[in-house]
Amino acid sequence: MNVYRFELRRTWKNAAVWTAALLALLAALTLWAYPVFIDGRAAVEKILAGFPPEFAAAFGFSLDDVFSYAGFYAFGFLYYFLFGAIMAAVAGLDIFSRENRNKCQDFLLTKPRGRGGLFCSKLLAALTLLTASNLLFILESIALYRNAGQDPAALGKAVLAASALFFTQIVMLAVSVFIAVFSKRIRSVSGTATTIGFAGFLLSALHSILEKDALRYITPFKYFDVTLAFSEGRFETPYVLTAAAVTLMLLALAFIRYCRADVAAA
Amino acid sequence: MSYAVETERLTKYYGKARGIIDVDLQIDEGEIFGFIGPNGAGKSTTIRTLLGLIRKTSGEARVFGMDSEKQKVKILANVGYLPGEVFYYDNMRAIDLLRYSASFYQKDCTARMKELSDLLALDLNKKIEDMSLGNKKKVGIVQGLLHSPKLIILDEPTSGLDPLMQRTFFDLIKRENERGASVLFSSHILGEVQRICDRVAIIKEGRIVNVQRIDDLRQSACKRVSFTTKTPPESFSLPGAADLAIDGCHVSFLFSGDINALFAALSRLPLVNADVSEPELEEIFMHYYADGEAAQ
Repeated sequence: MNVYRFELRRTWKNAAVWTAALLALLAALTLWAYPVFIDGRAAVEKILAGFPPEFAAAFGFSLDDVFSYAGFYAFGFLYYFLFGAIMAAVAGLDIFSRENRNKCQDFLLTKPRGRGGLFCSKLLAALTLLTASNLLFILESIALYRNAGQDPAALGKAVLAASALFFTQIVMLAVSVFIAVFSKRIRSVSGTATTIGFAGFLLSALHSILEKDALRYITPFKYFDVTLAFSEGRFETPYVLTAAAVTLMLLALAFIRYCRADVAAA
Repeated sequence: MSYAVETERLTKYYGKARGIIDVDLQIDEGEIFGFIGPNGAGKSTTIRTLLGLIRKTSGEARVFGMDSEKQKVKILANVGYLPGEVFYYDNMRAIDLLRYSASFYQKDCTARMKELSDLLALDLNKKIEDMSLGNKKKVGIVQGLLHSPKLIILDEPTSGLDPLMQRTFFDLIKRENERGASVLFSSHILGEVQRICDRVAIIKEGRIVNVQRIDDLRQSACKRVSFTTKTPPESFSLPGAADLAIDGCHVSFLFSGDINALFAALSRLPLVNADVSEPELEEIFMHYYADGEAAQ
């Protein structure tokens, strides 16, 4: 537990800042942008008519449903995913490259603790941060849903839709843990995390434009369809399985590498 | 007889590159064992294999009779390690680092932490990154010893310590040894090893070339002698002198033998200056191997 506590103490502030930004973005889009958007529906439709359909697709919305609460909420998710992915990557990279960055692997790895145990403690710390952050995100989503006067009977679907962020973050965490463990040295946690986040964002935009199913299997932001969750209360099984397989595979490879790798002198 | 450390044909290759080859070591419990060799000879590779930081290619390595890979966690509970260069987490005070270090052991290390830091005059409230190299090293010493380990592994431990602190450090290690701790002390400085060790293993190019008692090594060890005379000597010879070089009035050679005979010979010369010093390790090796090859 000492490694878990140590990692939490060193990363919670950063996670809190990202969570605050995420919650502020959610509130700003839902409470401020959505009403403005609805009021100006005619003007928005006129402006967007002048752009090719790929433009709207790339930015995560279609005119058919973006004016509904669920549609607008789902539109915002492209950006929540981006924020969430960077946050998850920061946590994964920071926690798993900490000793490597500080050249102090010798310190931690000569303590009487198995490397498997160290890996699990670090992973648990990252998962704790993401869980806490997502609990707040889901609670805020529920509050906003109620505030918008949406159907109380469909609240479960709204909660499932909101949980798409958590599941996507888990995938991005696995990606970042894999990168942290396999990289020779992470020079900048924030720089690498931003690159990971934007790579996810670009893949997502590319998939929206090209609409190729095969591409969706390597696009973490598209594994959990928020619109579908909102309307039908489910995610698509093939992509959920893909997300689970990718996550488990990356974490398993990282685990094996972390446990077996030779640690060179600093 | 149980050994604190025992290796049998311990071998490590980094890909195709040589690390260590067939290293056989037996370090008795309660012994201060020196491990000496030039940089890149394989000292750190041996130590890192014992600590489970790197995986052996073949052979056996046991600490207190336990396999260094399979029973690593049990071993590490009784091992204190001080590397040559110490690095710690950024933005951390010494006290926080030491508390974190202590939290890995099933014992209260608070009193010991205080005792050691007082002895080394270490300010625990200072951030480690703001400390001098010597003070960082002190943090390393305290964190390596705070759990009263049964085996202390020191890998080039004195770099960065001033001579006064080196003395304190050696006294501390001797005290730990008297308490019952075994010590593996790796260095490339012969004088350091001679100062506190009972026996020494000499490693060269990944292989142990000799294990000697320090007393025996001292007798066989050579000195670098150089002197300057008023007028160029026509010739100079002395039993035990090797690698002799005469350059005008200046003469230098490696000497192993009776030191009285050396001074008797020097006293007969019109000296301007004379210097007798520890030779470089490489010189000892060359001397040592030359003798070995001649003997063969």
